[in-house]
Amino acid sequence: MNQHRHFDLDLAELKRSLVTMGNLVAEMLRLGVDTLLQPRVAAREEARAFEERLDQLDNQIEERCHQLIALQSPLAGDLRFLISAMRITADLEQIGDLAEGLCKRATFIARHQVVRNPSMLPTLGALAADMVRRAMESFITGDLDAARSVLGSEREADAATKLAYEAVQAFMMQESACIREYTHLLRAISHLEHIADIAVSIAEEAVYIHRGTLIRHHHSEF
Amino acid sequence: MPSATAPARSPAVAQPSADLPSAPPPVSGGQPARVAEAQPSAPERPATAPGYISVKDYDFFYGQSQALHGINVEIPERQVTAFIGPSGCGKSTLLRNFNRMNDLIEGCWHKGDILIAGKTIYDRRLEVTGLRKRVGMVFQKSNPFPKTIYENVVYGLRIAGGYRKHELDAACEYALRASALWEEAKDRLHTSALGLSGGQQQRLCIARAIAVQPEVLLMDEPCSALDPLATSKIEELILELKRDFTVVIVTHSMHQAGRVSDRTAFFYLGKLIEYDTTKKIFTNPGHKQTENYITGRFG
Repeated sequence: MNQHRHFDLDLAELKRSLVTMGNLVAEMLRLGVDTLLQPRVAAREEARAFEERLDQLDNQIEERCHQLIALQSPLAGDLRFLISAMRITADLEQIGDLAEGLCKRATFIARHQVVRNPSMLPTLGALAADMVRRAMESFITGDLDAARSVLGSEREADAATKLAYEAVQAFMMQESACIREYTHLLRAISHLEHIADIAVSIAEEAVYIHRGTLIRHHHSEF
Repeated sequence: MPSATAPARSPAVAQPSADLPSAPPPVSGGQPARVAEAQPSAPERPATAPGYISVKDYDFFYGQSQALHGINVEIPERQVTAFIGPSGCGKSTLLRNFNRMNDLIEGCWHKGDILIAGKTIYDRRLEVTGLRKRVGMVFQKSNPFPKTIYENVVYGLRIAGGYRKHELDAACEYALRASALWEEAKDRLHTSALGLSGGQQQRLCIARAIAVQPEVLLMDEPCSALDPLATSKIEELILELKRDFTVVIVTHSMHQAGRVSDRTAFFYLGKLIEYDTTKKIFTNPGHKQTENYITGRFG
């Protein structure tokens, strides 16, 4: 009773583009977190190259979603997929911007005075990147346990952010000569917290696509 | 095929206006009173509430061939309910059972019951023509009689008898206004209905159906022969009509069902697969078969 549709091929192609975008963002995030842990000046340029490709993909996917909605008048699961694809593209693009921001902050620190990192920073960086990975996995495979685990990590990310913030504030008080560098470090920590929040948003979209329920603001019902 | 709301020819109709309002609604200020006084849409009922039309364990057979299997559905009053499903799934058969149109086909029989306003439509004391006045029908292809626009609209009332000219005039204006045809037809009421465009003819058939003030309006693919503009006019009209009538529409257009209906029933191979609010059916259907059908993966 199932039959092959051209529209299915269009949707599969769109999904592949989103996977490509997700992989690109994962690489940018790895670059951003590595650079933050070991600041180096060249990272900024590397991030910019990624950013260009990401913007291109973002435009292509968004335009394709608009076309498919206009031309195919999708319903039910197809409609949910296209609506969420547009949101996830925007989310990924924002994560890319934040990852570039990490490189920018790290580059500033590398150019001036390399300062101490809070011990929580590698944990927070790895957690944020892993949350994005799990959210994308849930979107691609429909594994709702993966989405659930991302929602569960939100509190962990908030706690790690708080600890990292407090550590940097303590460093600032001890090394007032490096206030500018530490301010950049604080911004970078805030970027990581934001990335973790966006991963939660992608996981919510995955639940919407695969289960049809909107759980934003209602995580407890999931 | 004659309209269900203009059954006539049977002497049984001779019970004058007992089933009809004592007079067509008075027309004041150019607005038909019933439409003007109509409440906005009825409040949303819970899905389990007894419907205006209740179908109970209903099986229907064309001779040996079973067309409907154990249908249970509650259709709410003054809402639009859409029946969707691939050709041959039984949706039109069920629709035609609501005013016993299938009685006209030899060898048909049924099990179970259909109630309208709490009373079975198979009551032996009930006149089928009386039922068809209460349950009007509009078909896929417009079928105006080869008469004037005016005579088409008042046909059912004339057959019922007992109306004076000014009452027929008022009923004609009411029905044409309610079917959004008055402005286009008022200056040519006494010209042939066959001179109207396809979309206008279909609205005329709706006017003819509602002139006798039915409780339920059945529509069997009413827009399938119309262009997008005429379709859009009929759809707007359906949304207006639900203030006064309980509307059941069979449609092959998923988007039409989405635009006009409050609830949608999906049929497949004579069975009711899923019945829920239209919002739910078109964004997140509960059954894979429904999803596959509305997204065009089969059917």
